[in-house]
Amino acid sequence: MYLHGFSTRVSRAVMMSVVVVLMSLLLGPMSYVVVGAPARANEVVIAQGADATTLDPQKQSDTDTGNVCMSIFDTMLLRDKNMEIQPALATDYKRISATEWELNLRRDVTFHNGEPFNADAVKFTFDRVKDPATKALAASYFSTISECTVVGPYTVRFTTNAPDPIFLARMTNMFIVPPKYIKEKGDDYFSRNPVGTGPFRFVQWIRDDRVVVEANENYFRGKPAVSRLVWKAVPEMATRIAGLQSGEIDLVQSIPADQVGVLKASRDVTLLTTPSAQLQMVNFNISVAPGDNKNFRLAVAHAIDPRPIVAGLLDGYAAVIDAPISNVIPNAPTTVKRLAYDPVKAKEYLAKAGYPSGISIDMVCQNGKYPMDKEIAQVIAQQLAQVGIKVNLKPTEYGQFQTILKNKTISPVYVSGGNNVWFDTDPQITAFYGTGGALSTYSNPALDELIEKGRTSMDAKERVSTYEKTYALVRDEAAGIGLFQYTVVSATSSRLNWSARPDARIWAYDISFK
Amino acid sequence: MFKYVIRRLLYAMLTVLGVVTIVFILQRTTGDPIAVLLPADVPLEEQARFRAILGLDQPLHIQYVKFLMGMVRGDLGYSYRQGAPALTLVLERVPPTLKLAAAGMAIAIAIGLPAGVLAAVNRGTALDRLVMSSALVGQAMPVYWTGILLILLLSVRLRWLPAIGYGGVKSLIMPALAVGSYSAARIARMTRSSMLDVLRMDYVRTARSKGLNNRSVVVGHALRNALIPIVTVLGMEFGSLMGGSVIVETVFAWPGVGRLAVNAIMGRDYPVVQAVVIVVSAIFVLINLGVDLTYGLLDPRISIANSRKR
Repeated sequence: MYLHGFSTRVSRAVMMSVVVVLMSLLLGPMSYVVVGAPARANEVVIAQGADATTLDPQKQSDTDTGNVCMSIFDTMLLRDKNMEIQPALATDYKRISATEWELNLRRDVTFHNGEPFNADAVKFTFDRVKDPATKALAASYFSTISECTVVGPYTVRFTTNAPDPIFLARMTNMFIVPPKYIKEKGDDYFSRNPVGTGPFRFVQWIRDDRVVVEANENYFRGKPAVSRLVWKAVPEMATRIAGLQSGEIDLVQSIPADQVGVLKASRDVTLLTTPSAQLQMVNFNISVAPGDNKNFRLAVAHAIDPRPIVAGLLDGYAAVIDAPISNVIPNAPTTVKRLAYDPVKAKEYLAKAGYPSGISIDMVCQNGKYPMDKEIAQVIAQQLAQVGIKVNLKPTEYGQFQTILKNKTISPVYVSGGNNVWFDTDPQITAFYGTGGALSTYSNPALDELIEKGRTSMDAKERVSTYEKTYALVRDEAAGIGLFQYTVVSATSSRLNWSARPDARIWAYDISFK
Repeated sequence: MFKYVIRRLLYAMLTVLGVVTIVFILQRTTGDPIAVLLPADVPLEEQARFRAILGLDQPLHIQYVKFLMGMVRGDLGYSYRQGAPALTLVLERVPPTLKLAAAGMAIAIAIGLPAGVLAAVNRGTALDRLVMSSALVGQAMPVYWTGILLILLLSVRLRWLPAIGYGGVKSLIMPALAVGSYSAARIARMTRSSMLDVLRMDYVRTARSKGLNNRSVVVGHALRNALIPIVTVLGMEFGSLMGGSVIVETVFAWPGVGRLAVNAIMGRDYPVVQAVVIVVSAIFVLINLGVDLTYGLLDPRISIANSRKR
């Protein structure tokens, strides 16, 4: 009898559990995902590795979020596919003094909610990004600009702290936000329900899953070819590739070299390649021995050969560079040649440095930040071992890498990836090799002087020749060694017309159907 | 009983506080959030300005006191990267994680429990060996690999199910299978060994000698008594699944707690990491409490009131 009663209780408990499980399965939206392309003729699905962190364009600073924001908002100026700066919300610009720029604005633009776009909106945008209370990550893009004044209803003037050669590039990152809407709804609401002037208007955001936008019929450049756009967050590359093959995804960027072969075999997928600003380099911490020894640095420079890395590890989806900067940067040096791979010379320099019988060092590298970064460092370590520099390789997670770099406690030699969001030489060389630069463990007054000259000159030709000298000095002092720039491989479903950009941005307005 | 639950809840709060304090200190030793929040080439003065805006320039004990005061008010801080309250971000991810955990557990129980019982009852036979070797394979296969295989088969080849995404039963099937197959293997092994212990007991022999049929001996007498260790394992499995199955969520692009946690850790988003730890450890502790209370339900000899008096 007892067992019988107990059995009833347990059966009830089991039944209840089943009901709870079923209920929880039924929780939430029940929209069925349609598999395959034909069902979504005018819809495009773009898969990125990460979801947008916020839809407030002033509170973001990463590429994936930036791409989503670019579909909803417009910037003052815009880089075209060739990385040339073109008008966007600003129709034209003129430099009226060494530190002042005047920009005229389009008169035919309204925000998606009907709010007018004008000089007041630009001033509000600038003041908001600079206000510490906004906690805007994008504030760092405009640190050199001190003021924005309204000159007329459709004219604004920006004042910089000092002559700023990348002022126009900064304007390509200034997303204009709607003053009235933000004042009425507040920051939190705006970051979840964004209103911009861009080619697409916001529809829905499920965090870590998707952002859905649809064509803005009244867009000032004309209605986009794509009527509905879905930004999917798919962290795993293998899944992104499977999604492309199954027809659920239309566009994926940064395909790893070892996966290209898989996609080449797919009939419905088009592969695109473009040289990029992303690069790998070997740098030195000159605050510790033997990084402070020029002969040691030259030994390392002559011991390294990036060609087997490009051909072997990256299947040719990269190009050897002569200086630690990508050649897609408009004012990057073109005449500087890298130090030749010469193991005999490397051994001579090592002896001169005081290590005739070799030396053992730690070498930090990044791990998972850039494609194959750890494997690249392993090849470098082998090459160094061949000339007598025994390397204890320390692959390091990105956040930790940045921290020890900034503390200057990083190893005397380290392998580092790099990028250039401004498409200008100045921010990159300042950050990596200027005294006190954000990522610099190097210091050389002669180099600082050249960097300063490049920064304060507003003459494009003069800047190019200054940077030739600057990078020649970087090479001669072996301050840093460029290895290669990555080639970005993208894949689209074959029904799309789209071309990849060197800045690895996706400007969704550019997408059309074949 | 009521007093026992209250006491356990107080202990639970202390446990959560302890865990979050350890996390609070540990994550601050892993590097500077500013290094990953701002673009790499931002000048140092600008970085310092932003550090001050986020309050990260203050001494650790001041930051901790502020955090505790916020926690008392139910304010777990504001995400550095996501422009939203940390607690909201975590709570948004709980329903997807609950769905996946519940579906995964349902599959695991549906496969693991009968398989374990069958193996125990048919001990030493080919069926037992088949079940146990399948369980071994199930546990040995990395969830990542199982996930990718499922996608290649069901999504790329057969085009039956979507490879990615969240929403609807179809998108739940593959992630639940990936999670469930691993747990099923564990449950099958546990059920088998627990059943073998119980089947040797005198009361099982008595039940058989009373002339009860095999089915009612196995299901009615043996399994019920074998359930206690199994329920313990189920509770642990469910608790850890509620912490988010990071790998499955990553492979299937499932917007759950695990992915949020990993992204927050990698992005040094301290408030979100802390909020995840608080919510997940609270859920874990509550599930454990639930499991302990279930013991009494399964076996009245385990009486909470009695154990306290003893």
